[in-house]
Amino acid sequence: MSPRRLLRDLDWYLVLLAGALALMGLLFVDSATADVDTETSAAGKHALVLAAGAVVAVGVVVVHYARFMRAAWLLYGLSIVSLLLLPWFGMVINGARRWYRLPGGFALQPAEFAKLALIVVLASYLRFRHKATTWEGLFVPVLITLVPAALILKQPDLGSSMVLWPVLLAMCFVAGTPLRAVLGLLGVGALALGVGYLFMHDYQRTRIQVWLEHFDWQPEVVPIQPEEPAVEAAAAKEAHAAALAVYRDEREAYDRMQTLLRSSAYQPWQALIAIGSGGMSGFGVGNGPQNVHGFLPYRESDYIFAVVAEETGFVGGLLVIGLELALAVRILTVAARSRERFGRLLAVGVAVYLAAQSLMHVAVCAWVVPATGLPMPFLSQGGSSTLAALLAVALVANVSARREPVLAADGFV
Amino acid sequence: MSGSARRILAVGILLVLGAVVVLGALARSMLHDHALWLERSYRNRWAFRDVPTRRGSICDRHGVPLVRDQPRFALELDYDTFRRRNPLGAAVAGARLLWPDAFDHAHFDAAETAALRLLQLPAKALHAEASSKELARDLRFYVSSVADGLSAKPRAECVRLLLAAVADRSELAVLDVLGLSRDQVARTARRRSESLRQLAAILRANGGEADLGALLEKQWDERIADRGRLLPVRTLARSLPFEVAADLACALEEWRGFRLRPAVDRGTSDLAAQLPSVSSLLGVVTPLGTHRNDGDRLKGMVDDLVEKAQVQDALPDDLDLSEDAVARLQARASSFLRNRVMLAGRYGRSGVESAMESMLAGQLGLRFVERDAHARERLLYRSLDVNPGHDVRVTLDVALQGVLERVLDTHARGLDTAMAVIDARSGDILAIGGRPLTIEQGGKLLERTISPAVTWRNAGYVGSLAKPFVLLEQLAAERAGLPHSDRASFIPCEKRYKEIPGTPRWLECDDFHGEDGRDPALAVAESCNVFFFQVAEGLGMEGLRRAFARAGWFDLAADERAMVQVRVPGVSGLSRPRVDPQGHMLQHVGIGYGVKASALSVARAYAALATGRLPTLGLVVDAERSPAIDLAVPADDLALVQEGLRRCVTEGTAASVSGLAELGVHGKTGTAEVNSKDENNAWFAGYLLAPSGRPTLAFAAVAYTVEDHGKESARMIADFLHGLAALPSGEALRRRWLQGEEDR
Repeated sequence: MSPRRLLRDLDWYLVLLAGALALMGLLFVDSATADVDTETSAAGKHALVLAAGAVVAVGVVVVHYARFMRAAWLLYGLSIVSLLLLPWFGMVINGARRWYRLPGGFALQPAEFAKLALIVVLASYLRFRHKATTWEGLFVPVLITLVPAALILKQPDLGSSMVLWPVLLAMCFVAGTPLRAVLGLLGVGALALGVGYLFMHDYQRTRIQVWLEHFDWQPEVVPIQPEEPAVEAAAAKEAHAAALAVYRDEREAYDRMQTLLRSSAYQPWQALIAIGSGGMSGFGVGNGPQNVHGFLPYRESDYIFAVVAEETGFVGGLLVIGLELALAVRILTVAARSRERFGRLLAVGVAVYLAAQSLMHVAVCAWVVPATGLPMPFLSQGGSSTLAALLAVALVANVSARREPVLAADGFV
Repeated sequence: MSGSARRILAVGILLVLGAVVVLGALARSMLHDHALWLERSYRNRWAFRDVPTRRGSICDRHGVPLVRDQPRFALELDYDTFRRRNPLGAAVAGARLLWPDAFDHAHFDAAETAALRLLQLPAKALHAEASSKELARDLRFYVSSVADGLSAKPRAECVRLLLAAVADRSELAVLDVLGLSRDQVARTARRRSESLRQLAAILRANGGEADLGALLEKQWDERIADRGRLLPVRTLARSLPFEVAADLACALEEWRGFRLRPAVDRGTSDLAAQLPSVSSLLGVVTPLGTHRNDGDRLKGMVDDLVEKAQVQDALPDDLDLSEDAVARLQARASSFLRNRVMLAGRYGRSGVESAMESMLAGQLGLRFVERDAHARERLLYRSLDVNPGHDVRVTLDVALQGVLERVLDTHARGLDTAMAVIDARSGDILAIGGRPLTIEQGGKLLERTISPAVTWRNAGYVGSLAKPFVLLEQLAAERAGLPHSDRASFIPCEKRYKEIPGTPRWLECDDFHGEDGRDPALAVAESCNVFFFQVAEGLGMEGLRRAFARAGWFDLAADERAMVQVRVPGVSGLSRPRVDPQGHMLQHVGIGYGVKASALSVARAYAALATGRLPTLGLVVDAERSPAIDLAVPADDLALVQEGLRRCVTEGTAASVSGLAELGVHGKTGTAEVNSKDENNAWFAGYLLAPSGRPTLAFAAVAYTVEDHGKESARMIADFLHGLAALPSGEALRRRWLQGEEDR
């Protein structure tokens, strides 16, 4: 395909939406890391990753996507190997072994690329309709997904491994898997979650317990230290004893809440404060107190949306979610327009991956779901996440630029 | 639309629905509950900080500081940090997980051993498979803290290496995994335990926690008993001097869990420290709420302080909060200030510190600031000014006080003594003191917390010190035609006067004065009882009461101008003089029986004899004072009494005490029987008439329950005056007090 035709047929909305999100990401990463005293600014580093990602993305768009289809199993195999080697060569940060150390202070998170590889391999596998509509067509994709999901879970990275399942379900569903089979899988997934709870790490279980508990705190409870009742006259001794018992209960609840707010509930609670205090229009970029004063941990990555909401309010949050959703919808449009199943499924997988990860990130920030570390595509600082998101969009752009009818078999290019 | 497109549409709809759900949750927090979260955001970053105030200093009449606030440091223990981050604390905590009874905090050597044993564990022992998830997690944490604290390796590096080795179920010891030298670690552990031992010694030496090891052990027990709850920070020492604190601060990095914070100590100046009576007189300052009996008094005091602070003024006017939220913020500010006042506040419990509390006490300041997550202040919104306490100048003169203390030390060997020196004209208390400084109660030696010479046994029977006033009243009665005996009819002193009815005892004099006993001046000088028995018989009890009222020992009636000075601002526990003739014969009352007064009251009375005006005693310079009360006696009468007092030291009962007459001392000895003939209150009181003709000092000295008849007390006064005359750099004092030159 000639470059001119490629440029003409490319879905520029995708590029615009991704570019807008990337710029917003740059803005908020800069805001969230303004007080971090490092030799290289985090925003600068993020810009470097975006630039490098853009170059790689151009390369991805130029090569016909069918080549990725052919290399699907190789990519998948590489991602699995990279996940497998983590326990030996990976570095530990905050108790999790998720990254390979790279020169120049960079790190590579194979899980982010594994998501992409999974989408490619699932699209490759499900591109044959006869496979997609059989039990084998459901069983094998589940198995394909289970391997990286288990390896990612082992790191541990519950959030990333959770993102894989909506991608699988959506791709299977679009590939033609009967709805009842998809719902059945959903049920099995829910059951597996329940069983999985028993095998979770303590901190993960605590996060879930605290999350369940926190619904009782809202919205009226602001922890106020209870006051000890004054000692009354002897005649009122019984009443005083009763008041003292109530006080002790309140005090115990207060102490427990204080302990939780300082430990396992600290991050989500601070994120909620940031989001809730943002109101309609926020404090202004670079002025969010929770962000500026460092109350919000991991605000440049796992809680970047809380910074967005605090500084630009509901309007800004709506804009970011709207952009992410618009990107996903646009990708689904590309999928719908594609005349070839691999490209269609690839686009569906990418759309769900980006949307699910974005919505889960927002849900984590708003404590709608238990706290877990999950970057927001394009917005969060994190080279691997940003690069993976850019490559994913580039793959879809590739599909969008090639609309000629192709055979649903190898050797059509 | 193809089936595939429909399914894509369904996926799209699901994604939009997901977004709607998330947006709904956001809308609830950001729009519906915005005010609530905004308040939480404010509470997160807004903080109140107190600004410590300075309590006023107490200086002597020339501005020499006696007590003042001195910056000090308090050492605190945050046990949870000690247990988690201090290698020795973590070593014991970690070792107890494996060997519950083998180690404790109380023995610092045990911590050393525990650290080494933990680091010698094979890495695989820290794997969940070796025990349980929780135990393995806790063990890894403590081992990391120990390794981090006892080596130069950063904690992150230790954790990384350790986790990798644990994941590999390595057989290597933790020490080897981390690449640490066994000897090096052992040396560091020993140095750490030694420094902890030194810290314990420093605390003991500076009045802090007596047994640090036992306290750490107790904290452990409390933590076990109340698992999950953070232990409050404990204060180990409240008043560490700068030099000690500076050394500690340099080593605090090694003592994680311990922290220093600025404190203040009510320190006695070096000069005042040499004046033991002064410390007692000035009183003590204690932190609020440290005494069980403080109760409502303190509550009221703190309420007043908080109300006076007008906390609402510390909040910005343009708060973007609801009225309820502002009210909560105000309540929080009040509560904060109240807590700080209770924690940091001090008050005078006794002496001048207590009496002048309103002047000395300052008021804490309050700053309303924006802080970051590390508690660093980023912005100051508003503040309440701190009000330091006012300095108080007392009328004491440290030079005179120093002389007085030396005299007391010299004379009070085994004796209970008290001595007071005042300015005869103004009533300023210049020097005051007493011995002993400690009292025994129930076989236990108690620190004395009451002012010497004004309380305790100081209000003793004055005996013959009353005679000059009785004589004054005799002279006044003669002029006014009030009931009295005619002096011409007085019989000479034959030692014995009259038999006491119903007893074999006699009303008698100590000596045979003959015709001299009819001379009023000589009767005073020689302290002739027979003369005063006859005066008393003439004056009757009413007349004697008038006499004692003139001395300021008795108020004739409630509606008359009070002569008795009940209170001296700054002097706590002043005993009220008493005239209680009950059980005493009229004649005995005439020679001072039944009359009790303190050394201060006696000095005041004799100041009146010197000047003709009963001064109002004062201990605080510039404090409001009633004017002196005119005795309303003719100068001739007063001169006659003064002549008697002069002759007392030249040829009378105090003549044998050298050094009084040449300085111009006018005075009177006095003896009051307490138990038997051999146990007396031996007094000497008088004033100094300077060569310029001006009375300067008035004084009283008393030795309780001695055989002596006032001469010991007279010697104390003589030594005091000679001490004053011999002060190496006391020229100005000599000119003023001994020469009677006016202040320029």
